[in-house]
Amino acid sequence: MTQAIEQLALEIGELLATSPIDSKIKTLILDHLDTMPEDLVFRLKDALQNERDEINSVLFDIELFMKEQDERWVKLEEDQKKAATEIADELFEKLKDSPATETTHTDYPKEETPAQ
Amino acid sequence: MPPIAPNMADVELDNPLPSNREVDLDLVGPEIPRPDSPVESHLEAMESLEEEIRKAQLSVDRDKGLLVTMQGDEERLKDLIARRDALILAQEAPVELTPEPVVGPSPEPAGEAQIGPEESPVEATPDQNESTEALSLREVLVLQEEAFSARKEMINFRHGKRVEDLTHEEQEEYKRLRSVSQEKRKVWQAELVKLPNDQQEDLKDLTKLKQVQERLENLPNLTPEQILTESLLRELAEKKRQLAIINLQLGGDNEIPRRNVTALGLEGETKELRASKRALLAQIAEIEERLTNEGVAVVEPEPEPEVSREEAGSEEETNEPSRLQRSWSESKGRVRRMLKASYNELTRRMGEINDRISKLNPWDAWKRLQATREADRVAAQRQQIEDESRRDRVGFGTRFKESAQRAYRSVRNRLRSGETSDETVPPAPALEQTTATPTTPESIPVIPETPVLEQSVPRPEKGKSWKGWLVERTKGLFTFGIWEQVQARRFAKGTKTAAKDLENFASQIQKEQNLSLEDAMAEAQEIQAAVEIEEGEGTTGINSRQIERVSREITARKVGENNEHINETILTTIASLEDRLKKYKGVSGQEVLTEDAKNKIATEIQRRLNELRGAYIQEDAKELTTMLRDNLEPDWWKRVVYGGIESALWMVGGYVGYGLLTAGKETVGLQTTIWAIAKQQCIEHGISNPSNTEIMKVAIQLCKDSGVKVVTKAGEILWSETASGVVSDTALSKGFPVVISGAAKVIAAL
Repeated sequence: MTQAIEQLALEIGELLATSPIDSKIKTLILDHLDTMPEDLVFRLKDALQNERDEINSVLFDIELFMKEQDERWVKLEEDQKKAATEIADELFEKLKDSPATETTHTDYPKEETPAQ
Repeated sequence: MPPIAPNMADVELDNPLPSNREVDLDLVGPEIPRPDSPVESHLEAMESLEEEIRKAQLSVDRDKGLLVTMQGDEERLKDLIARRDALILAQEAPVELTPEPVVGPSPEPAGEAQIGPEESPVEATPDQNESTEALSLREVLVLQEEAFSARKEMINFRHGKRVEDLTHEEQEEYKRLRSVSQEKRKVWQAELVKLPNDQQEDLKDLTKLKQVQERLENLPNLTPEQILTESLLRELAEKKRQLAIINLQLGGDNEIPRRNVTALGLEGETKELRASKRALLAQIAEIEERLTNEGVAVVEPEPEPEVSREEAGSEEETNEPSRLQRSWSESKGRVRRMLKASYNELTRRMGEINDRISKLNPWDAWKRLQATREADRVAAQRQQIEDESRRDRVGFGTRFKESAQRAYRSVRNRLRSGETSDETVPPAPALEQTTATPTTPESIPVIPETPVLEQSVPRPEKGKSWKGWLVERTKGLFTFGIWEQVQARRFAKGTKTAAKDLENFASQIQKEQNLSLEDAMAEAQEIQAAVEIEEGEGTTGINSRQIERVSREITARKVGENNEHINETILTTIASLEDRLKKYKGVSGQEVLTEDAKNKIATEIQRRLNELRGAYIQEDAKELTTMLRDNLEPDWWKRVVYGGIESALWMVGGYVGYGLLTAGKETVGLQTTIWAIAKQQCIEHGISNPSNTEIMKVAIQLCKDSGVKVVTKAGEILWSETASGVVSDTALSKGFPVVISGAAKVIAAL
């Protein structure tokens, strides 16, 4: 076996090990690699390499999405904080002059309820 | 469709009964008479080629000589056909044919053509993809090159970069490249399906940019004479290259071969290599003679650099032998396929002859004798191919397998032992770096091995990366998504488990976010609804469901984080409010808000903050599902990824791969033809004397269920209903498991 063929065998073994295809299929392929037509072995290697490229593409894209999502949701958190502060301010204005005993029994914070 | 000379049909003159492979030729009609025109030279060249094709076909059919001669004939025939196609291609644009419309014989009605030994009907199936607006093969190849180039550019851009390190400008640039790549891919795919089926079939192996570019370079754009000459010169160069490989494998041009030390390391291979060398030398001499006759000076090409066995082991030479080995392997593959097709054809013909004999009257002694002799002759030809196939050593051998298995185990063990932390996202390797760098198990980028569904759902601690989780989730798309989708499309076994999916999802959210089942279900529904809005009608497919699942999970990850933020915000807000009220009211040590009031305030704040979040979930679902759909477009994956894996599966160990896929289905082993099985099924299900139309309906179902496509010798789809099949009927061998489960239903409806 030449070094080039040895190298091909190594590449296929490694690519198969990292491929997400079903393990039964991997075993099937590995068990028949000795008698698999030579041209198909090369096609198999191409396919596995393409698969790895595509998977890496998807992973990269999802990761990029998540990074952008994180950035977007930071803004959401700021908005939420701001909204919560507004609610708190609103409630404070409604509750500040009410007697403590009333405040403890009020139905606040319903917006439509008068602050008495 | 290119005009077919009448003499193509004459090829089968020995065989009065038309075979299924001739049917489509009959439908084409007579050759178009053409007036004198500027393209006269094209026509002359075409006629010359047709004549050569006819002779070569006869030679292939009738050759009783040595196998090596048969191989040469087959190769020559294929080459001639390729040259004719190239000529047609070159002729396409400028030629104006006679204004008379081409009217061939009306297509024969279903029920009169043949597919197997019996008279079997074949519907005339005009190429549905044929369109006057379809681009030429060259134009589609150019689109393919653009699509693959754009993909390469995108991958190269991100190569070696980590997402977290990307600047905003780089992110935008990457997204632009991705968008361009996907757009070009769509354009190419849209045009590809408009090509005739045989051309689509022809292009299916081009999964790398380099292959596409080479193919484009080899597409002629020359005068007919130049095409012929160029083709011959290319053929000559190819033969000489093959000869150089054989010489290398034999241990040197004039050296005495050393037994058992050939490049492939296979016992007894030397003899075969010598035979192949003799055949190649004869073919080279023939081509050179033809070139000389045409007045073309045969310039000796630059000699291949001599590679000694010692040098072959050096790193510098590693890629060249690989390239040569690949070229050699592909040549061998072509020859094998042609032999296989010839074998099937001869088998079919034997069936026809035997059928004819069985119908002869007892007093037709002369006809019987003739038919018997013809059957013997065909049987001898078939035996010859069978013997050769038996002698043919297929594959790289045991040592190759063992090396691959060792590498596989090494990487797998490394993955299992946890060398790959969840922080590792496989780096994106540069595209087309197929042989540039020798790889070792250590240099391979890794994707965690354990199937996603076997793992408990990890929930990284706050502040830690989600990458490992992400890799596992995304991997599920490939493990249970596209591959299953490819299989499902073939076997039509798509299922709907949306309700169950939602329960599982809720259960997962419950675990991850420590929620009550009720809350988790509500959250699952919220996210599900957002995703479904974006998925639209695409939610029914398995692939879509997988996308939906990952999309939901990724969104759920963020929702989970945000829930913590909301909780924190509520606590802070109420504490702050209480504090302010106390200060304002001057209360000391007394409650200004009861628990009930706090609860109501918390609920209200939560409601408002969740409302704000809803828009973000919606936006994320839209973006994420669109991105995943584009990335996981099934036709693309099937073409550039799983086509090769499927081919490998179909061929290994006598279709054991197929056996795996058809597990649990009722099958019968192929003996003669699918047609015969269909007929038998009809009889077994109560139709004692089925018509050809009835048999054909059942045969089509069998083909569809078994992943078989019925094609002409040229590879064109003969039965359009079977176009989605994976393996050609011509490639089936005895014992192939034909799925018969669906036959009963079809028969019941007859």
